[in-house]
Amino acid sequence: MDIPLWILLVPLACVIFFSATFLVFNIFHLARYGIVGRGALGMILAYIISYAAVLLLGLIALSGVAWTESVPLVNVLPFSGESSSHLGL
Amino acid sequence: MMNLNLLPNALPNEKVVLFLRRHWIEVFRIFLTTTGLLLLPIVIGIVLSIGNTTILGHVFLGPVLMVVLFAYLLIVLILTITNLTDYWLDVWIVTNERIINTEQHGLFNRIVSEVYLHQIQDITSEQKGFLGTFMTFGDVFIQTAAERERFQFKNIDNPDDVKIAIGGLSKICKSKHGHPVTRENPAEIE
Repeated sequence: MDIPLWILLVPLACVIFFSATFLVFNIFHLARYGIVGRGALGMILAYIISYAAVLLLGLIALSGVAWTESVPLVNVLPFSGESSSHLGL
Repeated sequence: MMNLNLLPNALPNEKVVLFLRRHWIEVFRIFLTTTGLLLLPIVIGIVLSIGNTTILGHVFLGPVLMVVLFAYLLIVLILTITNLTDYWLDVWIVTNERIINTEQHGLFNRIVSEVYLHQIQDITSEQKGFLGTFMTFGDVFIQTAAERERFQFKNIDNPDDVKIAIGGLSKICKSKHGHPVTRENPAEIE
């Protein structure tokens, strides 16, 4: 029995979705309840840039993995089978 | 956004006298926590690499580790952002007529309350611990005659100065509203 690697992306997609939702909530709160001035606008900008940077770097790092491949169940545990040659690591 | 020049339910001739946030040490604490959380996977990575140097190259555990690390970074970032928002939205506005207390607890709990300066009965400032004394930050508690929880300015800079300033403003307001200065109103006696 094989396990497709892309299955790992499902929980990651959930985390990205929830973190993006929380980012939007944070920005909404700052925009709605913050005090008018450069501070709140600067924070909103910093939030967006830092989130985009982490997201981009993470996606670049993950792009090196061949997600369409499947791994035999016997190879799931460390040293239980041959090491990967199709990972771009 | 709230405009300090256009306060909600503003009274005629009402002006902002003090605008307070928690001390910057709170921001330092948030970033210290974030740094600790960011160092955690590095420490775990070092520990793992001692016993097993090829775990990142493993056919299955390599991608798992990358996904977990990515998700962890996103969660740490969002926690930091939420804490910073919490810090930024906790404000205390002291005008020449009232105090507006705005507190954000997490993302879905927000408290806005106000007290008129002539209602104040007691003001207490409190600096606790080495850091509080050294960095001059602490709490200010404001008690009114009403049966409600006392107002608390949490971890603000120079709580003693704030207490004196509010005491002075309260005295002016009480004389304006016809409340006599008596020993029953300790906030008025300096």
